Amino acid sequence: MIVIKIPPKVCSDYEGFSFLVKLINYCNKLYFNEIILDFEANTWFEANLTAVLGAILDKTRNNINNVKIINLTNRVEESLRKNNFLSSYGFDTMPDKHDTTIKYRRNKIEEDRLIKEFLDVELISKQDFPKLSAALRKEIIKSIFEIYSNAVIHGNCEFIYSCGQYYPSKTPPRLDFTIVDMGNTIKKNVNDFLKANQNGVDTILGTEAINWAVSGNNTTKPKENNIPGGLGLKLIKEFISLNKGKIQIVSADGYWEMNKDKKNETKSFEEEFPGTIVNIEFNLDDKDFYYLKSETIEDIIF
Amino acid sequence: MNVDKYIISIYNEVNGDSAISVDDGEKVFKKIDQALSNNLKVELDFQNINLIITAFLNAAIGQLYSKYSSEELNNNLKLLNIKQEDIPLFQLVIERAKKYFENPQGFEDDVNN
Repeated sequence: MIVIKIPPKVCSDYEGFSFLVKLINYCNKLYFNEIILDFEANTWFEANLTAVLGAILDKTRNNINNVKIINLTNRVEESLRKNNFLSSYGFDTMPDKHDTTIKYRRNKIEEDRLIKEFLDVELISKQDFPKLSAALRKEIIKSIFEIYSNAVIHGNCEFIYSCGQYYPSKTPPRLDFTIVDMGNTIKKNVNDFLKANQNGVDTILGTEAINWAVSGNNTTKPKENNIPGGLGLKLIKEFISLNKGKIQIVSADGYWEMNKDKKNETKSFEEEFPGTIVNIEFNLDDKDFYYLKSETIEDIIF
Repeated sequence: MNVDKYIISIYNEVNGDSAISVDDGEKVFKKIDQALSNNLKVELDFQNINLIITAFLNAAIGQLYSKYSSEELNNNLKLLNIKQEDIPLFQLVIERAKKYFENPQGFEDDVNN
């Protein structure tokens, strides 16, 4: 039996992601074990990060390990039951009376229509959820789908994990939405695309690869498939900087963040995350409309 | 041939109000391509579509520039019922596809440096 202690706080920040990167690298080495996640010291686990934890624990279970979660504080247990994350770990679900969760989901990549319907319901029908303008809601859903679609195109994986959490008491109130795939990392895709692998070593670092992927119109889509790409992240960055939100990307050993002041920050992890995590923080106290700039909106000319 | 114009309802093709998948975009591209290559004019009708992302448009429309010129597309392809707020998205995808297919290698060099 192996006991893993969860730290006192796990937030959507570099430290929180560092812990999750360490966790997966530790768990990846375990086979035929009883693994206990002990939350005794943990008083705060940002519920959107269950998208990452779920991906990690699925992989761990697939390595023929049993996983148990114990000693949750009331507050953490409530939030992880409300978003259905704990349903796979022997806990009952719990009604989300205050409408603060967008449920934890593990979707096959072809289920995009279902996710759209699910998001529509989650973002519209909740009574206590802030009333979003139609334009803001549309941009939020569009951003989520651009990321989802990136994971489908580039990750080459079976499942995509997602979870969202509304934080009403933050100033301004925010919605964090996290999407995780355990497929090809951005580092691998960029190194392959730019043919930067030398003697089996990827010469472009994780942070450099993410920087490349989020810059300009860059894309690692293979040219032979004839479909142009590279616009999705650019549009999300534009919207999030207008919205004064935040984007964080974790892939391989790279961490990249664009914060509300439009500043980019990159850091490296000691180990690699075997996939890609994207967390988008939407500022919900935002009354503006987000139409893309256009010189001519009369007609479309090919 | 009994028709000279082929109408594609995007709502029907994507089975709902959201044009969000590359596979659906690819399906639409193939239909447009089949019609254009048989000298038909094509109308793409976006009525009742409430959500469009670049992944769909790159596949459905961006890809057309691998086979057709702007002139051919302007003469033979018509886009209907696009919401005003979505027009810039179409313009971006078209602009990028044109640059990409004008000189794919040069474009990659350009963006990589």
